[in-house]
Amino acid sequence: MWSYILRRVLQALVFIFLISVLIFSMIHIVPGDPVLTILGDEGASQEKIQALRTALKLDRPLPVQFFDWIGAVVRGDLGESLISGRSITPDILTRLPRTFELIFLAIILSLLVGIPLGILAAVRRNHALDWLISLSAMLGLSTPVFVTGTLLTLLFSLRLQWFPSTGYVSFQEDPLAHLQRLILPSISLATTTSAIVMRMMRSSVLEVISLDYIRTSRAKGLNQAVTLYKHVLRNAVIPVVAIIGVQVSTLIGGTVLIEYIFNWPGLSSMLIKAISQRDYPTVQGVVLFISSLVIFINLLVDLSYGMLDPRVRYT
Amino acid sequence: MKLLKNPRISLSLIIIVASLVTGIFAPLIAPYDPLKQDFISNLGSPSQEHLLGTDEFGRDVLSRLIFGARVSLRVAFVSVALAMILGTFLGLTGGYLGGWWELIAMRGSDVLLSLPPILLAMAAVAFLGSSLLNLTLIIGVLYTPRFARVVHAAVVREKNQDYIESQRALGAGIPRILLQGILPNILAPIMVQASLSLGFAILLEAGLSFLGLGAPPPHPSWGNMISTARGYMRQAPYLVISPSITIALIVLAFNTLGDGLRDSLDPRLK
Repeated sequence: MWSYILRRVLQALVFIFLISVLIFSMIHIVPGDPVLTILGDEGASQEKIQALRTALKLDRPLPVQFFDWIGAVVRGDLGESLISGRSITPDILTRLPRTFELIFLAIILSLLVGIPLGILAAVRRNHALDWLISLSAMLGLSTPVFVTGTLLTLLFSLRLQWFPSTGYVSFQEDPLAHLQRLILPSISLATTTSAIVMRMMRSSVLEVISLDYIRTSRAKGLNQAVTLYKHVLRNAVIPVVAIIGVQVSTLIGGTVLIEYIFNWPGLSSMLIKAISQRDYPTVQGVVLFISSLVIFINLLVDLSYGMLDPRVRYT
Repeated sequence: MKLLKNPRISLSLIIIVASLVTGIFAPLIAPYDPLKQDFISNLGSPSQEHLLGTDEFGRDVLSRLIFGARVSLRVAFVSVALAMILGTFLGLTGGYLGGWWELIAMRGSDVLLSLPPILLAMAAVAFLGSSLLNLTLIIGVLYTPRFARVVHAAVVREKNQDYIESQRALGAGIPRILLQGILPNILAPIMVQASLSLGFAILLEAGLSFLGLGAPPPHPSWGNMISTARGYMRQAPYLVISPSITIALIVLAFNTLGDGLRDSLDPRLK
């Protein structure tokens, strides 16, 4: 088992390294001179061009640039923003909890909605209820998060005025206002994942129900509900938990659009702002940070899968 | 055509073909020029002349939706075709040849698959600039691993089957074995993947356009229509609703088609 863990950790590190190479090389595949692209078309002075080139360290040989950058990254220094001149890492760390908050609530919501609906659909397989639930799940999968977010704002903020439409208030400042602003973005973010959880739960329950030991337990006359709770659900929920781990990547992708719509000052909105300002070091820093985070979470999920399901063997 | 008897498949195909036809013949179908501005009738509610109303510049929303289909569907189809060709190539050669080539192709795919596509797409657009061509290439590359993985798994399963052995014994070369022996037998999972990827590609393109990283204005795409309409949600909520429903409906059709194909073509994947 230890060798399995070691191998997975190594693999994750290799992934992160490859991604950092990819992200590093992005600035070098910019068509034309990246410095001129950043400064825009208006004739920038020669000193300005030179200063930026030095700031971006583009005046040194490629390998030196790469190892300087990666060396700093390993020490936790992702460089400085071209716009504000401030260090990128602290900014990321302030914003990280805000993005996590959205994702965490979205996961809770998806489980709360997806698991019961999935069970219901499986138990009523091929009845009208199953059909209705499955269709809604399909719709949830097919509607882009930014559409859900926009429509929810339209309905609940503008029409019914239950929630403020955008903005952020920190929890310390005003807990109630904070939660009010957290709800719509989390629900929007949760639509896709709830649909995925529901579909997974449905097929998982159906699979477990058809297994021999369930038939035995039915045959010996155990109550349907008892069978469902004691035997089916416990086993059926394992793949669902696993899929939540995989969904973290989707959720993080979703926050890109959700934070934009709801003006939520998380990691993703930092990225969008950096892109619109051509703040390349920030773009690189945030993308590398988020990628490493996703890979790290996937690693944790893989490793914990074995704890949930003793049948999983580490090979 | 037994597949067409499946209502899920036939219904979603009807929606897809209808939207394709609409996109291709947009200039003939659209009632107005999608770029023609008319400030007297801006933000007009749906009416007899403008079935879905007019936007902030008085442009006809229905015509913009119809022309928007061109952008969204073209990007989706071309990028998925690209991904399918590249991914199938990587999966076939990687799975059959093995060795370091397989390692590079499949690990590379794993790296790309482990990250949210929109994140990579945004980063790539940030550096390469946004144009329809770039968008198509980027989405194509991002979806290549999905095909590579599916094809790879299928090739590994098929390559030691008797019919391939016999082809090999008859002295067939590798390209012949791959293209005439293996490929026809693994088309089902490729088609399923293509259908699902088309839905995802439309979502991704719409998301990027929504963020202002897609088709440059004034050209209508469904994503940027929603994005601008959000600014007028108080006065003209219908502007947001029609492109939203359009995107959801098309993606729903592709997802349903993919699901239907998977259930009928490959019962093992159920």
